[in-house]
Amino acid sequence: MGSTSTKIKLRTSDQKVFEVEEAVAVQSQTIKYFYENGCPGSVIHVHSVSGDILSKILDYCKKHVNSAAGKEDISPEELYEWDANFVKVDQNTLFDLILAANCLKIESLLDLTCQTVANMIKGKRPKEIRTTFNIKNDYTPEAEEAVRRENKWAFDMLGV
Amino acid sequence: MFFCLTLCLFDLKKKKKKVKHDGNNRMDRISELPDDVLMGILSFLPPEEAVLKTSFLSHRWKQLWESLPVSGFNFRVPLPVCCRGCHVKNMKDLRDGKYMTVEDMKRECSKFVEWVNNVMISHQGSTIDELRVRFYLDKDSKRCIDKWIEIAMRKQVKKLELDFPSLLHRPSNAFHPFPQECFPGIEFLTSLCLVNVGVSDEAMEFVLSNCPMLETLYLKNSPLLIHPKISAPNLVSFEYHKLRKVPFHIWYAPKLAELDYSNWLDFNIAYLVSQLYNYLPQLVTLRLSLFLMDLPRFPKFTSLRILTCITASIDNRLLLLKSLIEASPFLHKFKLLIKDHKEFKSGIEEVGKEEAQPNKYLKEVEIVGFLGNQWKLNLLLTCLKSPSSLRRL
Repeated sequence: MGSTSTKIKLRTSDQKVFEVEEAVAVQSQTIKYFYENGCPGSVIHVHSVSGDILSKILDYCKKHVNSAAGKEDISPEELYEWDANFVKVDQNTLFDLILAANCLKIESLLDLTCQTVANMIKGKRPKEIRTTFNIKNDYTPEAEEAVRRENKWAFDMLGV
Repeated sequence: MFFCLTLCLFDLKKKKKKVKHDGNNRMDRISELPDDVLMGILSFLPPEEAVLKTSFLSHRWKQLWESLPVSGFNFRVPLPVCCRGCHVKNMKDLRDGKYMTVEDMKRECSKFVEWVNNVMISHQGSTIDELRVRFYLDKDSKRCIDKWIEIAMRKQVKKLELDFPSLLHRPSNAFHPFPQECFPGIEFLTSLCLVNVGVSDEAMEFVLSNCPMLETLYLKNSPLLIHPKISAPNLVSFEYHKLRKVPFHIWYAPKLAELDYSNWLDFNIAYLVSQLYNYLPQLVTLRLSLFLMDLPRFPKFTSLRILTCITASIDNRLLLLKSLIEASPFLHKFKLLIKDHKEFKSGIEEVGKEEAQPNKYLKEVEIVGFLGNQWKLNLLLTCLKSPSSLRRL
C-alpha cells in the first residue's frame, strides 16, 4: 500500500503522462481491462481525454477509493457534498467529464454527471432547455405548434 | 521497456458529429453525447416530465424518448378537493379554488385522456413496470382506459394503480367498469390498487384467477362489489376500504400476512373473526377500525407483530381492547388512533416506548388523538398492564 503500490501510466490526448496508483486507475473499467490484458508496465493511451479532464477524473477516483478504503475519514454526507462541488463546473467541462466517464466506464461518475445535467433540465421549460444547452430546433414552425398543442394541457397541469 | 497500447475510446461509427454553432458561437455540446448517455440523463427525470420536455426539443430527442426504457408512468396531476358547479375555464383555475361546470370538466377529461394516449402510444419501450392513473374519469372514457390497461399488460406491468374520483355524486353504474378481459401479460401483475373503480365481483374474481402472482390488493370505494370472494395463492397484503358494510370472503390466501380494514366504518369485529378465523393466526400486521362493543373471543394471533386500532370515543370501554392485546402474545407495536366524534386528530404523537409485562415483546405503544385526562390514561395503562411511565399527551 501507499508509495509501494503499483503505478499505472496513462497518456492523454495532449500527450501528458500520469502515473496513477493501481487502485485509483482501475476505477475505470476500461483502464482495468487494458491493464489486465496488456503488457505489464505499458503506457495506456487515453486518446479521447485531455490532461485537464483526466486530472479531474483522477481526483474523483482518488477521493472515492480513499473514502471506501477508510484511508480518509469522511462521512457519506461529506462525500456527497464533495461530489456536489466536484460537478460545479462550466458546461464544457461537464460534458467533457460525461464523455470521459462514459468512455473510461466509471459508472458512479457517469451517474453523478448525468444526474447533474438532468437537474439542469428539471424545472425548465423546453425553450429554456434549448437556450441552456444551445440545442438546435429542427422542427418546422407548424410541427412545433402541433407538438405544443398536444402537450400544452399536461404542461400546465404538471407545472413542469 | 514500454509497450504502447493504443486505446481507441470512441467508437467512430457511432459517434455523431452533430456539433452545431449558433450566432454566439456556442456549441450544442449535449447533442454530441451518444444516445445511451442521453438516455441515462433522461432516466433521471420522471418519465412524464421527460416526454413532455424532450418531444419539444428536436426530432432526435423525441426519438430518444420513444425508445427509452421506463420503469413506470405516473399519470397523476394535482387534483382539487371540492367543486360546487360554478364556472372556471380550466383545471388550473379549479385548483386555485374557483369553480367549473360539467361541460368544462368533460373537456378537461378529454385533454387528460389525450395526454395519456399520446404518451402510452408513442412509448416504444418493451416493458412498463408500473402504471398509475388518477383523474376524474368515468365510464365515458372506458375505451381509452381499457386500451391503457391492455398496453400496460402487454408490456408486463407489475403494479397497476387506478383512481377515478368524482367531484359530484356519481351513480354506481357511471363508474368505469373494470374490464373482465384476459389481456396478454395480465399474469405478470403483482400489485393491484383500485380506487373509485367500478370493479364487479365477477371482474375481481376474474382478475384474481388470472393473476397467480398477485401479492398486494387494495380496494377502495368500489360500489359494484357486492360479495367479493378473495382467492389468491400469493396474496400477502389485502386492504379493503368500503363505506357500506359489505360481506367479503377470503376463500384461499395461504400467504396472507397483512390486513387493513381501517377505513371501514361501522366495523364489526365479530364479523371479521367469523370470516377470517383460519387466517387470523398467520397475520403479522393488522389494522382495524372497530366499535368497542362486546368483543368476541379471539383465536390466538400467534404471528401478529403490529396492531393498529382505530376507534371512536373511548370512554370506559377501552378495557375491552385488553382481550385483543392478550390474544397477541408476540405483539411488538400497538397503535391506537382515537377518532373524536367531531374531528379526527391527525397529529401523531408518540406516547412512549414500553416494555409491557404480559407481552414481553411489546416494544412500542403509540396513541394518537387522545384527549382524555390522567384518569383515562391510567385506565389505558391498566389495560396494557404496562409500567405507568407513559408521558401524558
